[in-house]
Amino acid sequence: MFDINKIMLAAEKLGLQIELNAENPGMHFVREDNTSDYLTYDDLSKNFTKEFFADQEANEMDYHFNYSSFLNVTFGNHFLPNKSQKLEQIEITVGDNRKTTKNSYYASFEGMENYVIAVNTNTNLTGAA
Amino acid sequence: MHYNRSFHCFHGTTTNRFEDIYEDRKFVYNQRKNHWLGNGIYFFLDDREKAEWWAKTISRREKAVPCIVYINGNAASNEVLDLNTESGQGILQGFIEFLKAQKVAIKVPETNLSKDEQEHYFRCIVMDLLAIEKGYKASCYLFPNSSKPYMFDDLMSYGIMNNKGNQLCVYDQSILDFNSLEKSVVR
Repeated sequence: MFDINKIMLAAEKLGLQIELNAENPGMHFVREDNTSDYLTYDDLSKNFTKEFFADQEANEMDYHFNYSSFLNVTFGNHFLPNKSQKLEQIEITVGDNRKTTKNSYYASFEGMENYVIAVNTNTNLTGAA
Repeated sequence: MHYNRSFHCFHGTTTNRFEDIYEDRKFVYNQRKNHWLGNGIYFFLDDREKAEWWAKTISRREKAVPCIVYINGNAASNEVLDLNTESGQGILQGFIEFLKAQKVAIKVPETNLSKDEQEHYFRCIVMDLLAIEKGYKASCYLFPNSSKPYMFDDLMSYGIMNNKGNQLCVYDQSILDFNSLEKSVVR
């Protein structure tokens, strides 16, 4: 399906040096002293995943849960529960009331959790934990 | 089986640049190391609003008047790598597997790129190599939007997310019909 000779010609056209059956396949960034950093094809697949794969991004972007049947929370943009994260958006729905804040910063998952508990108990929605 | 495909292409630019496009009957782009689908000229397919957003973005940067360019593209189906389809995705996967199987090492001079920039460069080169090897004149993909998924807030609850548009990267401008070129100034 693919022709390695055509790929070699394409590389030449693009001004790239290509080596076949290389000890370290991937992309090499060669310094003047002939040492190099290199990326593997696994690194490439991760990059494709990051930029191209909508579901993966959606999973990273949105963390949505029902704290109880009453409380509904959506965190936006690369929320990771066990790390300090700058949140793009947090949306909290309590009953019919909805509050959206942007760029809230939580020092920890526990801090966020305390905030959510506070919201659940007294609906004080101002300020980040 | 191949068939003809017609593309309704929108490109965000400035009025000054449009004059050059109109007179020269070609789009000019900068070779870059991080083009998503490889080096080429990029359009939003069927999405004027996305082009308008981009036109406003670059016109602010260049202190110029934003405008949207419409142009029609026509190509045989086998001349376009459509990564929204199973067959297109299979071709890209096959190409990467082929490079791995051949243990291909691509060597470029180190230019102090960050790890992230190196990854983008790698992807851009793979797309460029694939386009040349298969003789593609364009490729397209509907990219997700991680920075602004909430444009239509309530649609999120229906699972409909905003995106970065179905983008067409044109490698060979012979597929563009410059007689169909239209300009629309953004107010």
